[in-house]
Amino acid sequence: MSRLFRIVLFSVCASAVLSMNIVYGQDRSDPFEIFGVVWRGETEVENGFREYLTQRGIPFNMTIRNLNLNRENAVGIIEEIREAKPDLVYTWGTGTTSSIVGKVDAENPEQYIQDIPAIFVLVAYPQIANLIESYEQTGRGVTGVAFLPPIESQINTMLAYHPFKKVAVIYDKTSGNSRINVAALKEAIPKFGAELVILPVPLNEDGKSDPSHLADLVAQAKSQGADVIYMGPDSFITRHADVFTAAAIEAGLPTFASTQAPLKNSRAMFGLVTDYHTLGKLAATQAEHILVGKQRPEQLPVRRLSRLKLWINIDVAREIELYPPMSMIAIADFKSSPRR
Amino acid sequence: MAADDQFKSEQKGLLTQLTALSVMVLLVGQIAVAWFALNGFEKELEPQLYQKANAVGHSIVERFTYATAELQIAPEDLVGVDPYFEDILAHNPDIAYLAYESSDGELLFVRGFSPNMMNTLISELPDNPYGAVNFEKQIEGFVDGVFPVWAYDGTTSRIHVGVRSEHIRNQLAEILLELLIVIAISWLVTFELLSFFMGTHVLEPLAQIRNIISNGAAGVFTNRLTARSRDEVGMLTLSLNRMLNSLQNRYNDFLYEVRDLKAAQIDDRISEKISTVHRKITSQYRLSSGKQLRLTSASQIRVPLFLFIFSEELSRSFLPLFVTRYAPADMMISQDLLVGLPITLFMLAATIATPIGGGLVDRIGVQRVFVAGIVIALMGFIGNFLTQTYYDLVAYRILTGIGYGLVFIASEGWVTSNAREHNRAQSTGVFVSAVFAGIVCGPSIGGIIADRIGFEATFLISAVLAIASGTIVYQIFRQSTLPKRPAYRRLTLSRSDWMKLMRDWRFVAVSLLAAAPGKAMVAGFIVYLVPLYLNELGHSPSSIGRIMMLYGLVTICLVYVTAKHADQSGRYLSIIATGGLIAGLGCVASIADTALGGESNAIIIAILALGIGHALTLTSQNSIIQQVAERYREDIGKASVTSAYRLVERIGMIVGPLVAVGLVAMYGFRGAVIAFGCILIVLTIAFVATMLVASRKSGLQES
Repeated sequence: MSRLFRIVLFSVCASAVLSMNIVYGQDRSDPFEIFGVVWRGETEVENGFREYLTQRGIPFNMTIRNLNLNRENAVGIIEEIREAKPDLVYTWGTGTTSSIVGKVDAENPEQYIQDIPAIFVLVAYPQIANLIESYEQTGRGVTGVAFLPPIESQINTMLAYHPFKKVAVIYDKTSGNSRINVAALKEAIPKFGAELVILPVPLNEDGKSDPSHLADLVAQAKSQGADVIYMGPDSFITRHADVFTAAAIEAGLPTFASTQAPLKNSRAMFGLVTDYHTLGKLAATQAEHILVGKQRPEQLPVRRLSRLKLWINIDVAREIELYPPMSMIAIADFKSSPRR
Repeated sequence: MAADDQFKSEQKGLLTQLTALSVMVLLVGQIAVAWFALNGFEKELEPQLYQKANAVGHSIVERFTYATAELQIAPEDLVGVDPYFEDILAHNPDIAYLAYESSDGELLFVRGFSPNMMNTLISELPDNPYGAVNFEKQIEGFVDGVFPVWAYDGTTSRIHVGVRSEHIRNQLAEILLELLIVIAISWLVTFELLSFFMGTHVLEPLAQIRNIISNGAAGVFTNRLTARSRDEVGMLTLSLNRMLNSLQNRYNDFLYEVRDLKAAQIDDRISEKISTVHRKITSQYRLSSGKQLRLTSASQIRVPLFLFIFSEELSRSFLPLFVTRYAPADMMISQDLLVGLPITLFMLAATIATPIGGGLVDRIGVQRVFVAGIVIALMGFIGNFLTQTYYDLVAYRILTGIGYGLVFIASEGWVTSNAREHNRAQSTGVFVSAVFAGIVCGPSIGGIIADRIGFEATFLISAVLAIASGTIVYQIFRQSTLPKRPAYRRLTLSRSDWMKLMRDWRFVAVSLLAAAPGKAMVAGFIVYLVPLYLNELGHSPSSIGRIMMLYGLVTICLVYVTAKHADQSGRYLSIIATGGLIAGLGCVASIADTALGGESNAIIIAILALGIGHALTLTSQNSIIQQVAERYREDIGKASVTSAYRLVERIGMIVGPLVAVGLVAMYGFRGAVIAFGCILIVLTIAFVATMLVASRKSGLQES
C-alpha cells in the first residue's frame, strides 16, 4: 500500500517538476519573438508594452517595422513575418491591422498573416472595421485593446467643461474611422441637447484630403455658430493638428480631442483620452496571456482601460479665456503647450 | 370602617414615601452624572466640529491654490465655484456656509446663506483677523473660519468656512433630551418595580396579617398564612403562624383540661357552670378548622406585564420604517398599504387570539397561557431580528400579535381571579398602569436604542425583555398556588344578543361612534402615520419615539384625574364629547401648521390632543357601557355586554391602519392628519346626537 502511494506521489512530483521545466526552461533559454508593425513610427504605446513585459520578467525580442503611412508597404513586411515565424504579431492602428492580418471576411485570406496570434492597439472601431466579430468573442486568432472612450463619455466630459451648444467636427472623409466617428456623433450629440456642424475636408486632385483648407474650415465652423471643435480619431487631422489647433485658437474656439496626440504634440485645449503608455501595458497583459498563459487569442476578449485621462491645456484655456470648472480642476491632468 | 380607611391611607403612605425617597436619591445621582457627561461632551464636541471645518477648509484651499497659483487662473475667472460649494455643503451638514473673498475684500462666491446674512458678513469681514485660521469670530450665530489662498501674482484671497454655532447647541439639546427621557423612564420603572415589590412582599402580606389580627380581635384565630419569603415580613408571618399554632395547642389543652375538670365534678351545678363557661369560650374563640390563606395578589402580574408591553412597544417608533425597507416595490398593492398591512394583521392576530386564549386560560391555566404567549411573541421578535423578506416580516409580526393577545388575556385573567371584591377597581388600575407604563417607556427607549444599534437588533432587545417577563411569571406561579375557579368565563353572544345590542342606541353610540374611532386613531394615526410622517420630516427614530411617548404620558397623567371627575360629576356624555372634540381639533390644527411653527409641532399638538381626549373619554365610555350592561343583566349578562364592547373597540384597531393608508394615499400625510381630525369631529357630533335621541327615547337624562 505504502509503496503504491510512494510511486504515485513520486510520479505526481516528477510530472510537476517536468512541466515547470518545460515552461520556464523554454522561457529562460529561448525569448519570445514579437513582431510589431506600426503606422507612422513608434509611440508611447510600444514603450508601455515593452515596460510591462520587462517588469514581469518575460524574456522577449521585439522587432518593429514601419508602414510609414502607406498600406502598400505591408506586402514586404508580411513576407518578412512569414520567414521570421514570431510567437506574436503586434499591429498599431486600423490600417496596419487590416493590411497585416486582414479582415474577418477577407476574400483571399492567404495574403495575410492568419496562423500567428496577433494583438492590435490603437484601433478605433475594431468591430465596425471588421477586424473582429465582437469585443467579447473575436472569432479569430486576433485580439487587442480598445482605446477610444465611449462617445457618450466624451460628449459628457465636453459639456461638463462648459455647456456648449454647437459642436463642429472637421474630418477626413476618405478615412473609414472618421466616417464611423462622425456617424456616431450625429446620433449622440442631439441626445445631449446640442447641435452638430459637420465639415468634411475637401479633396485634392489625388482624391486625398487637402490640408490647405483646414484654417478655412475652422473659420467656417466659427461663422456657422459652433462654439467647440471636436477632434475624432482621425489620423489626417492628427497629422495636421498643429495648423488645425492654431487656427482654432486664433478663432477663439476650444478644441476637444478624443485621442492624446493632438493634446500631447499640438495645442488642442482639452480631451478625454486613453493614456498611450498605460494602453501599451494593457496590451502587454494580453500578450502575456498568449505567450506565457498559452491561451488562444480567440479566448481573450478585447479589453478596455477603465481609467481615462481628462487632459487640459491650461495655456490654451487661458488664451481663449475658457477656464475649467472647479469640479474638473481636481480630476484633470494639466499640461502646458509643448514649447516651440 | 374607620380603621379600614386609616389602614388604607397608611398603605398608600408607605409606597408614596418609598417612591418619593427613591426618586429623590435617583434624581440627585442622575443629575450629577448627566451634568458631568454633558460637560465632557461639550468639551469634546466643539473642537471636533472645528476639526471637520478645518479639514474641509484646507481641502478647498488646496484646490483654489492649485487653480489660482499653479494654473494661474485669476480668482474672478474661476468657473463652477457655486456648484462646487453646494456639493461640499450637501455632503457636510454641519457646515453652514462657504464664501470666497477676493484680495480686495469682495465676496466673489457665496453659498449657504441668505442675502442679508451676506451683507452682515461683508461688513464684519474687514474686522476679521486675516492670514490665519481661526474660529474665534462669531458672525450672526455662525463661527467663521478663515483660510488664506495665495494666487500666482502674490495676492491673497480668503475662503470662509462657517459653522453653525447652534449646531453644537442642537446636538447637546438632543442628548440632554435623551438623558431626561432615560431619567424619567428610570423613575417609571423604579415606581413599577417598587409597586410590584411592595405589593407582593409587604403590602399584601401586611393586609393578610392585619386581617388575621382583626379576626383575632373578634376571637377568630382559625386562618393561617402561607409564608413565602425569608425576609422580615416572611419571618413575621412565620412567627404569627407559630403564635397561632401555639395558641391553638394551648387552647386545645385548656379545653381538654376543662373537659377533664368537668368530668371530675360530682356537683351538677358546678359541672353545669363549667359547661356554660366552656360553651361561652368556644363561642367567643374559634381556633380550629380554618383555611390556609394564599399570598397571591393582582399586582404580581404587574412587572411581567409591564416588561412584555415594553418589549412590544420598543419597535413602535420605527416599525413602519422597518416595514418600508422590506416592502416589495413591484406589487399590485400600493406601497402604503404594504406598510400598513403588518400593523393591521398584528391587531387582527391579537384580536383573534384573545378569545381563544380566554378559553385556554380556563382549560390549562393562566400561567401556561401567559408563558405560551411569551414564547410565541419571542419567536416573533427573533424572527423579525432575522427578517429577510417582506413576507417573513409580516409572518413574524402576526406571531408576535398572537403572543400579545395571549399575554393580554392571561394577565386580565390573573387580575380578575386575584382581585378581591373590595379592591377590584384598584386591581384593574394595576393592569392599566402596567400597560401604559409600557406604552410610555417603549417607543422612546426603543427609538434611542434603534438609533444606535439599528432596527433589527432592537427586536433582539425585545426578545430579551420578553424572556425576562416570562421568567418572572414562571417564578411567581411556581411559588403560589393557582386559583381553582375559572379566571375567564368564555362569553359567547348569540346572534339575537348582538341584534339586541345593535338596536340599543347608547351601546351603538359609545362603541361604534366613540370607542372604536378612538382605538382606530391609536392604531392608524399614532402607530402607522406618525412614525412615517415624522420620518419624512427628518426625525430620527429616537426623536420619533420621544414624540410618540407623549401620547402615553399625557393619558397616564390625566386619566386618574379625569376618571375621578367623571365619576363625581356623572356627566359622561359631555366629557366624551369634549374629549372627542379636543382630539379632533388637535388634528385639524395641522391646517395652521405654519402658524404653529412647522409640521412637526402640529403633529406634537395632535398627539397631545389625542392623549388628552383619550384620558377624558376612556372612563366615561366604560361607565356608560356599565350602565347599558346593567339593563341587559338578565338576558345577555353584564360581562357579555362588556366583551361585545371590547370586540367592537378592537375592530377599530384593525380598521384604523387601513383608514390611515387610504387617507395618506388620497391626501398625503398632512392632509390625512386633517382628515382624521374632521372624521373624529363628525363622529363625535354623531355620537352626541345619537346619545341625545337615545336618552329622550328612554326618558333617561344625563347625570
